[in-house]
Amino acid sequence: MITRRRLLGSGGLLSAAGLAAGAGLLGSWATRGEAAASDYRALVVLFLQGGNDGHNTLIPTDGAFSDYTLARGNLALAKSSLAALPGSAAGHTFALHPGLAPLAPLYQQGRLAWVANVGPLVEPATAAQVLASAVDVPPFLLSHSDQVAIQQGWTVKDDTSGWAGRALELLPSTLRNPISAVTMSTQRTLVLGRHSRVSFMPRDGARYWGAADLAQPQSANSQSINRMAQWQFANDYQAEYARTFGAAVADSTLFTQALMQAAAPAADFGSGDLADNLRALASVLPVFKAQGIKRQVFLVSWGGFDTHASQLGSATNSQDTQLAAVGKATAAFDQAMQAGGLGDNVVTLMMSDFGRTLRPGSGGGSEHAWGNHWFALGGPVAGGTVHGSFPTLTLGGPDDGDQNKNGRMVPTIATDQVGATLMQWLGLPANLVTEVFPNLVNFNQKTIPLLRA
Amino acid sequence: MRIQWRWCVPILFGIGVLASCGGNDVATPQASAGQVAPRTGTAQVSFYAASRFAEQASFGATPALVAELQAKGFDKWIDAQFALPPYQIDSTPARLNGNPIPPEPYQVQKRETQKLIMTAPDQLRARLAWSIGQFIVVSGTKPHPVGLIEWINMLHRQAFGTYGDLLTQVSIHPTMGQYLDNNQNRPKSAECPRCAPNENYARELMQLFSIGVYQLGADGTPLRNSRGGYVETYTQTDVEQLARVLTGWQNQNDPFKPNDGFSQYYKPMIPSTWPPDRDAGEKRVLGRVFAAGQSAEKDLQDAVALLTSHPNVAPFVALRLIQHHVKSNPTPAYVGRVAAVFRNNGSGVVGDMKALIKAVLLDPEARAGDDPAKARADDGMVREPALHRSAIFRALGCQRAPTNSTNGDYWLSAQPHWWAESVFSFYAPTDRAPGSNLLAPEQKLLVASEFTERLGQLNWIRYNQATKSNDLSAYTNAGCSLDALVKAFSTSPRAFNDYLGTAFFRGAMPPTLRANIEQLMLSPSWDVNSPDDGALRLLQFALATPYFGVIQ
Repeated sequence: MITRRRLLGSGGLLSAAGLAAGAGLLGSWATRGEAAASDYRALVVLFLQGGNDGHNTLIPTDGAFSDYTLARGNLALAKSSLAALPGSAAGHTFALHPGLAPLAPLYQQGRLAWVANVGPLVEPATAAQVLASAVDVPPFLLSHSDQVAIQQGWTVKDDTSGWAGRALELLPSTLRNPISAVTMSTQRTLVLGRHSRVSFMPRDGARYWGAADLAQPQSANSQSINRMAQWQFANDYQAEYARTFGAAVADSTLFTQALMQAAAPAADFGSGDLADNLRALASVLPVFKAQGIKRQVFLVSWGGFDTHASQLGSATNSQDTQLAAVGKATAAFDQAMQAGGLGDNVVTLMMSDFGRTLRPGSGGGSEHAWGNHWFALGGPVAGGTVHGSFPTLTLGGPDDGDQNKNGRMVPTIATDQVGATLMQWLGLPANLVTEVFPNLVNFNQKTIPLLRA
Repeated sequence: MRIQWRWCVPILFGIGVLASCGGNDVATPQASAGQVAPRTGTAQVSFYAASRFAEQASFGATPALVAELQAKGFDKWIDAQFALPPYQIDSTPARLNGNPIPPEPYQVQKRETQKLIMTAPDQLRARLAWSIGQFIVVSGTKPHPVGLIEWINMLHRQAFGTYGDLLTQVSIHPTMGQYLDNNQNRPKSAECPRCAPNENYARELMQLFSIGVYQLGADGTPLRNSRGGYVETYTQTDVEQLARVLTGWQNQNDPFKPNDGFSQYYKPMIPSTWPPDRDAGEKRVLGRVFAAGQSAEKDLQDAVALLTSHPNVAPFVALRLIQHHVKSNPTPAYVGRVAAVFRNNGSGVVGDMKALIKAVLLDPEARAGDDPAKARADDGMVREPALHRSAIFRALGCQRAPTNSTNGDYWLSAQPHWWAESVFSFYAPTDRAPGSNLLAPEQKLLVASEFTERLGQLNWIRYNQATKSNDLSAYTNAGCSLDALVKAFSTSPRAFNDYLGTAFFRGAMPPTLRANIEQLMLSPSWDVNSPDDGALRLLQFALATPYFGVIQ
């Protein structure tokens, strides 16, 4: 019954909904939905696993291009291969990695913005201060697992929650609903709250549980599955298993019913795991909106971007190949959102473990670094520009915080500032921002103008 | 034809008490109401304790293994396991190349690793290698399957050696060299001005394979700085310096088999003889000086000595082995006792893996639960998908994983064996369950698709792709025997529960589960197409419950 309590506690709306009452649960949302269907906001975080090399993702094409080619050596992309972005921003003209060419028109339409040189910070820092050890910096820099967690909001304590999960717990009660913190893989830090469970949404749903069809939640077989989740256990791990099981049945009942109403989008997402996940998400978001669900955050983790070697080329795990999948699938996702009437309801944020060194390494790759470039996509985004200040692309230059001048850029925008911007858009009260992002007490500017006013 | 499957004289007195169907019971019900059968005859340990130990020390209990454990006792059984030769997979049938790599090598790897799990006599070694392989990770996502097979073979050969020798063999294994790029780790030189040390392997050698990112006390408790934060173990400069230490290794090509493209996978890497491939200058890692001019081998030897003498390595390894074999959240005292054995096996040897696994498995905290009355609420761990399936298939006597896929592959979607998504494995030792915040790393894999596999897969396997109908050919082809299961099902609910209790629940069928199974079998709406349909449907229900979902 933990799940029922969670639903009651978080929504305060599901008066009689028990575990087994998936249909009733959904029904109550559908009813509410008619009154407030327009108030739907979702954040989709596309997390590129392994540390996407931002230096080859967003490239300056003005005078700084010669810095780029000089520092990058054999990793430098040919200017003629890049997808140019119109206008200038942050003091430069820019182009995108050729794989991201489908995003260039969205930038032109003002639906896509870049955030330059962003990364985790404890307090504002310059490269000179970092080199002089004059500022506090996040722990475990350059470690994948720790930086993934820190980017997603881990505060380096036993509490393993992430920023979106914490913020969702602090939304006003009118904006809370079930299946608000959702992951499509076993990665989950971002959407993990302090005391809430996380919903796992497999792209094809989880309709059949043995003989139980969750589309028939009242059937005897579904009831027998639900009963199992309510057995009592003295052992902590058996009790946890039962809780996890019960929550998974409840979530899967909702996802099953939503997916049954979903229509496949017309846009071409391409093929592969990322395409399939974003396509499924695009098909189901309009249903959630129609059901009256108000706030959701989806974590879509994908890829193997830890390109210490063989970063270029047509191999399946090269950055070139993977960015092409990102470009195609995210552009199609935005197209589907607009077609489905959600063009102004959904923001997609691309982020990654960390940036990579400006200097190449042996084997045709690059090493772990710190600051990186991300994009945000969707109607609410103040697009067509690059937010923040673009780093100087020279080894040992003014933004390089590495003692050995490998080109590890010190971020000029904090991950927390981007997170706070997006979670305030979802309804996090301004006075609770530092509750979710404790390091922002050290920043005068808690948010950045990434979204339209 | 759909038939109603019924039993004789079902008489239900409330929940959980059932009159027996005279004469039809399978022989000698084991302590079926949840109580533990006493030791009998010459047994050193109870059936319950031996079954429980098998879950901690092997890929799952079989009648033969439990009998052997009861006869020998734990200590002698472990010694007997130490004496067995390491199981090795023959990679020859997988040595096919192409671009892309053809499917056969992948099928060989998957088939052979399942066969190993089901049949390897040296189960303790195999299970320990699986544990090690979950924190010293190579994943099939990158190397050729021959490389993955040879990696597994190496872990088997080293599992009962010392941790230092293991780290040495890991560092020069060609598959690891490829997976974390150390075979491309070259310094900047006049000959290669664009070269620069590749830090990938050096970092994970410290972070994931030996000492971790923050400092630990002798019992694994993190040390804290004055502000309550973690104290970092090393700096980025240490990583860069260790990367320099590890430069200059290359694959060994067999001069007698110039056309054999796979020798790079079954022979350790060797130092390049071309001087610019190696940084022979002085390095400093964690305060230790690596003198200029040392050989690649000497530098590696010193690096391994440095890491295996670091204060962190003993509790680091102790915690991981305890978590993979016994419980997710051991007391600091238990970690401390095992860590002490890592530092000294009693004869002055550091990192003796035999002494270590014995300390893990024979510790009083590991054995307390052998008597269910003494079990602690925080004992145990979520049964990870790989061990969940292996326990089922071994209990059914399978010689490899049963599958109905046309190519013979068995693929576990939540935890594909030896195919973790990245070097960070399937879950982290610090992962907690959302909501309750219970330290439960394996809980991360309990997603909806894993539950639906637990509740469905055993029956899906009956679907015969060739005949487009259901039968048991996938099981019989894999050498599994479902005779006892189906016979018990056909006999009576009580006989079926007794069978489940003995085969899967250590002879102590939980009363709630027993009552539910009976209720399902006797309910008016219960109908099945055949005894094997019904038996497998109920089996997977029983094994998807929290009772089997946790190794307690």
